Amino acid sequence: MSGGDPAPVRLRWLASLSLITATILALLSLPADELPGPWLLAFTVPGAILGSWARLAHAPWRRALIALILQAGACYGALAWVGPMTRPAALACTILPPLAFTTTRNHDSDPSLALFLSFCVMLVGVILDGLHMRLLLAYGAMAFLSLHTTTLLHGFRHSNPQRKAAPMRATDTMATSLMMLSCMVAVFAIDRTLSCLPSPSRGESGASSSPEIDSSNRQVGLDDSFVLDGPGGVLSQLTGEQLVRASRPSGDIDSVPSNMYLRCGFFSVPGMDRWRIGELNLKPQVGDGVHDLRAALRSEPIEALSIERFSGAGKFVFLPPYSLRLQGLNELMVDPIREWIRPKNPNNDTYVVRYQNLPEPVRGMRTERRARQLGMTQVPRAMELEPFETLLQQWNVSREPMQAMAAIADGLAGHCSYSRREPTGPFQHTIENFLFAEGERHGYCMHFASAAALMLRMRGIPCRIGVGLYGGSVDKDDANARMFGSQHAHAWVEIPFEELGYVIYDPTPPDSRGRATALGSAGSNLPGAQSDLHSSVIEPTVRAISKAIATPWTWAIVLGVVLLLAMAPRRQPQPPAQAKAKIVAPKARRALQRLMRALAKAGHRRRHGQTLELFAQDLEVLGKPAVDVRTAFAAYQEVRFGGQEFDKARAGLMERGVRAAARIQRERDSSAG
Amino acid sequence: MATPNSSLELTPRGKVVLWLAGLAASAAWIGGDANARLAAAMLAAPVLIDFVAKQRRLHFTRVGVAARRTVAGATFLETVRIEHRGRRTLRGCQFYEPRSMRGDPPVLLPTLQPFVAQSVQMRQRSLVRSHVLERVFVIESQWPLGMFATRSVISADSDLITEPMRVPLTADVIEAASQAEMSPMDRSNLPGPEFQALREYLPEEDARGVHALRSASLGTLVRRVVRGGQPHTIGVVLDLRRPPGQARGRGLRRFEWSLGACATIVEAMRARESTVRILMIDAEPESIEVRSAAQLVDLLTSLSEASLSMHKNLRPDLLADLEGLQHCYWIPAGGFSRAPEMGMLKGDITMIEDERE
Repeated sequence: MSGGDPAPVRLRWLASLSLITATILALLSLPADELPGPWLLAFTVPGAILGSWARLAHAPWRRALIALILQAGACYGALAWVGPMTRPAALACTILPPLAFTTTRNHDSDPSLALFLSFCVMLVGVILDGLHMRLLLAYGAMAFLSLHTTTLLHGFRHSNPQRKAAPMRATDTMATSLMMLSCMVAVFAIDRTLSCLPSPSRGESGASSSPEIDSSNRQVGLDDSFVLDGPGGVLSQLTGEQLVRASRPSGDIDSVPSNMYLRCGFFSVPGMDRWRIGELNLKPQVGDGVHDLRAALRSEPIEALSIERFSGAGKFVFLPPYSLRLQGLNELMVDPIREWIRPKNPNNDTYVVRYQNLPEPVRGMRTERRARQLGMTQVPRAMELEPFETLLQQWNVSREPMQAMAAIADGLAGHCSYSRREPTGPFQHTIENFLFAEGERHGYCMHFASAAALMLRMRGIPCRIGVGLYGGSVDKDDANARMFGSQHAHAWVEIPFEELGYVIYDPTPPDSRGRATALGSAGSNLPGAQSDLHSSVIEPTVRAISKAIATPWTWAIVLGVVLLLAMAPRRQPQPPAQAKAKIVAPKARRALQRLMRALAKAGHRRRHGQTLELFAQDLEVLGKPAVDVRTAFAAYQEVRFGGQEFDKARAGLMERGVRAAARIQRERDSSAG
Repeated sequence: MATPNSSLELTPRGKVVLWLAGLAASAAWIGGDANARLAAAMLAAPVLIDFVAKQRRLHFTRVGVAARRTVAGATFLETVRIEHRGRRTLRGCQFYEPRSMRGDPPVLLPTLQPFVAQSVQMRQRSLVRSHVLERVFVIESQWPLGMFATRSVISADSDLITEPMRVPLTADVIEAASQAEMSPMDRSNLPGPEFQALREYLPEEDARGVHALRSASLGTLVRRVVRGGQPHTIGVVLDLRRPPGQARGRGLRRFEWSLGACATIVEAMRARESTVRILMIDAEPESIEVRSAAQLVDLLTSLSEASLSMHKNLRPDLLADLEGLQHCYWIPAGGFSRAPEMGMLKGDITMIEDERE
C-alpha cells in the first residue's frame, strides 16, 4: 500500500474493505458469552495497532517489545474486567492477534494469510456457537471478493500496467457478483456431495444411505452435538419444514390446539451425556388397521386427530398424549407396555388417532409401580449425586411427584437459561456443565428434560424422556390444522401415573419450547388463503425442486457436469464477418465476360492476374477499336468499384466494346486471308 | 503461429488451499463431522470456481510485431499488436517475451476484447547477439481467484537482429590507420595531415595530439584535429576460425568481444568516410566491402549471425583484395592469433584483441 503502488486506488480500497469485513464477520461468529467483548478487544486491538503502525515496520525488536507490552496490558485489563474465559475460547483467541495484525497491515502476502486465519476463526465460531447461515453467507461472499481483489492486485503489482485502469463497468461488477454467488452455490454443492460419501464412522443404521438423515444434523431440528442415542438419533432423522400435518377429521370444527405434543419416541436408559431407548418388547400387530392402545376414561370426552405425514416422518408414528385408538395404519411394531409404536415399513399413510384430554394429576396421585420394574428410576452410574442433591435441597424438592415437578421446573427456570447452544463449562459431562457451571448456565430442551428426569429419579419418581414435535404452526390451507416441521422438534419428560398413564411434564420454559429454527421456516407461517394456481402448480413444483435440492446426488451430478463442461475442448470461433464486397450486378459481369470472349476470339487474351487497366494498355496498339474497349472497361469498373448502376448508357458502352472486339477479329481475319 | 493449447497449473496458493481442502474432506469422511465437511466445502469452492471460470483460451491470441534491429544489451521500447480471437474477453493477463524481458516485469492487460486488436509497448532488452525470425511471447493469467494459472506460448513471425555489443577500443587502435597515411600530391608540400580545428582532449587519446600553447592559455587540455590523415580504404580481417585443437565451447567471450570490436572499428572508419574492405574468414570465407550505410547494415547483420568455425587453412588468393592496402586490422575472433596468413599482407597490420584475455 505504498505511494508507488501501481494498482488503482479503488481496487486497493475494495480489497482492504472486503478483507476487513470478512475478518469482522469471522469475529462476529464467535460466541459472545464465551468470548466477551473485552477479551475480543484485548486480542485484536494490539495486533491492529501494530499492523497499522507503519513506522515500526523497520524496527522489529521495538515492535515485538511494544506488542508484548500492549498484549499483556490488554489481557490484564480484560481479566480484571470480565474474569477468565473458557478453554475453547482461549484456544480461539490465539489466532486473533495475527489475524488483526495481517488484516490491518495488508502487505503483499498478508491478505491470503488473513483470509486463512479468519476462516479458522469462522470455523471455531461454528464449532462453538453453531452455524449462523446469514453470517456464513456474508463471510463467504466477502472472503471470495477479497480473494478476487487480491488476485487483481497481484497482477497490478507484479507487472507493468499499460495504461490507467479503466473504470469498473457494470459488466465487471455483474461478473464479480455472479462469481461470488457461484462460490456460495459451490460451497453448498460440495458440502452436499461430500455428504454422499459413505463415512466409516457412521453406523449400520443406514444413515449413510439416507440423505435426509445425514443432512439434518446442522440445519434443522435440535443441535446435532447433543444426541440421545448416538449419531443418527431420532430427532436428527426428522428433516424438513413440513413433516406432519395434524387436523381434525371431517365434521369436527375444533381447531388443533397450539400446545399440542406429538410423541414419536422416548428414552428410558439415562446417561450423563446420552440417553438410550432401552429395552423394548416389540410385537408385530397386524390387523384391520385399528389398534387399541388403552381404555378410555369414561368421564372425559374423546377427541380425534388426523395425522398426515410427509417425507422423513414416514418411519414414525406421532401420537398425542393419552392416545386411545389408532386407525389407518397397518403392520405396526408395538410395545404396548411402553407405548412404543413404529411402522414396520416406512409409509406416508394418513391415520386418525383418538385421544382424551385428561386433567392434570393432583397431589397425592401415585406413579405406576410397574415403571420401577421397567428401570425408570435408574440414574447413571457415573453421576455424582452430591451436587444434584444440593440443588434438590436448595429447591426444596420432595418425593411427592407433583411437588417435585413444580419445584424442579421453577428451580431450572431460575437456575438455567434457554439457549440453542451446547452447555459449556469445566465439567466433563454436558449435564453437569448445564447445571453447575459458573456464570451463565444455558442449554436447550434436551438439557432441561434430561436434568429434570435425573432429579425426579433421584427422588424416586419414575420418568423417561419423550421426544417428538410440539406446537406447530397454523396450516396455510386450513386454519384449524397445524403443520409441524423439524423446527418444532422438542423433548420433555413423561411420568407414568396410575390410571392416567404417561403424563407430560415439560420443564423447558414455555416460551422456548419447540424453538429450533430451520432454514426458511418463516415460509410456514404464511396466511392460509392461497390461490388455486399456488396449490396446483407452484407448490408441487417447489416441493419437487426442494426435494431435488435436498438430494446430495443431485449436487454431485451437477458438479460433475460443470467440471466436464469446463474441460470440454472448444473450437476457435470464426472472426466476425467482414463487410462483404458489394456484388457486382450480374448483367455487368456477363457483359464483361462477353467482351473478354470477343477479345479472346480476336487473339487478345488477358493474362492471368492482369488488371483491366494493363490489358487496356496492351490493346492500345489497335488504334480506334482500343478506345471503345477501354471505355467499356471503364464503364464496368464504375459499376464494380464506383457503386454506380449498370444502366442503359453503360450497357451500351459495353456493347460498343463487344462490337469493337468483333471488328478487330474481322480485321484480323481479313488480313490473314 | 500459436501453441495448440494453454497449460493449466496450480499456483502456490491453490496448492495450499487444495491440500487443506483435501485434509478437511478426509476428516469429514472419516469422522462424519458436518463442520469438517463445511470446512472442506468452503476451501474447495474457490478452487472449483477458479477452475471452472479459468480462461483456457489464451492460445487463441495472435501477436504481431514489426522487424527490429538492436544492439545486444541495449534497451528498446517494442510495440506489439495483440488480438484475442476467442469468444470471451480475457481479463487480467500478463504478457511478456522471456528472451528479451529477463529482468523486466510483464505487461498487464486488464482486458482483451475478442477480435479487437490492442497495441502494447514493452520495455525490452536483447542480451544475446542473434538474428531470430520468430519471436516467442508468453501470455498468462491467474484471473479470477488465483488458484490456477493458465499459460500459453505464442510465437510471431518477426525479424529481430541483435547486433554485437560495441566495445571501447583504445585511441591508438583507432588511430593506427591514420599513421599509415601517404600524402596526396595535390596537398601542401609538408608531409602529414593538415590542421583543421581544436577540440577538447578526451582521455585515452594520444597525448601527442595535445596543443600545448592553447591548452596552457585555456587552462584545459585541447588537441588538434587534423584532416586528411586517413587512408581511403582500410582492410579488416575477421578471423572466426578456432585455433587448431581447441575444444568447442571455449573462447566464446573473446568471440563476442571481437565481433563487437569489428562492428566498432568499422563504424569508426565509416564515420571518417573511409571504405572498409572486410574479409570474414568463416567456413566459407567472404569478402565484404562497406562503402555505404546499407552495406554497413548488411555487415552488421552478418556479424549478428556469425559463429565460430572449424580451423581451416586459408587460400592465398582470398587475401588478394587486401594486399594493396596501406593498413589492415586483424581480429582473431576465434582465438587464432598466430595466423600465418598475416605475413601475406604487405601493409601495416594492427591486431585487435581483448586485453582482458
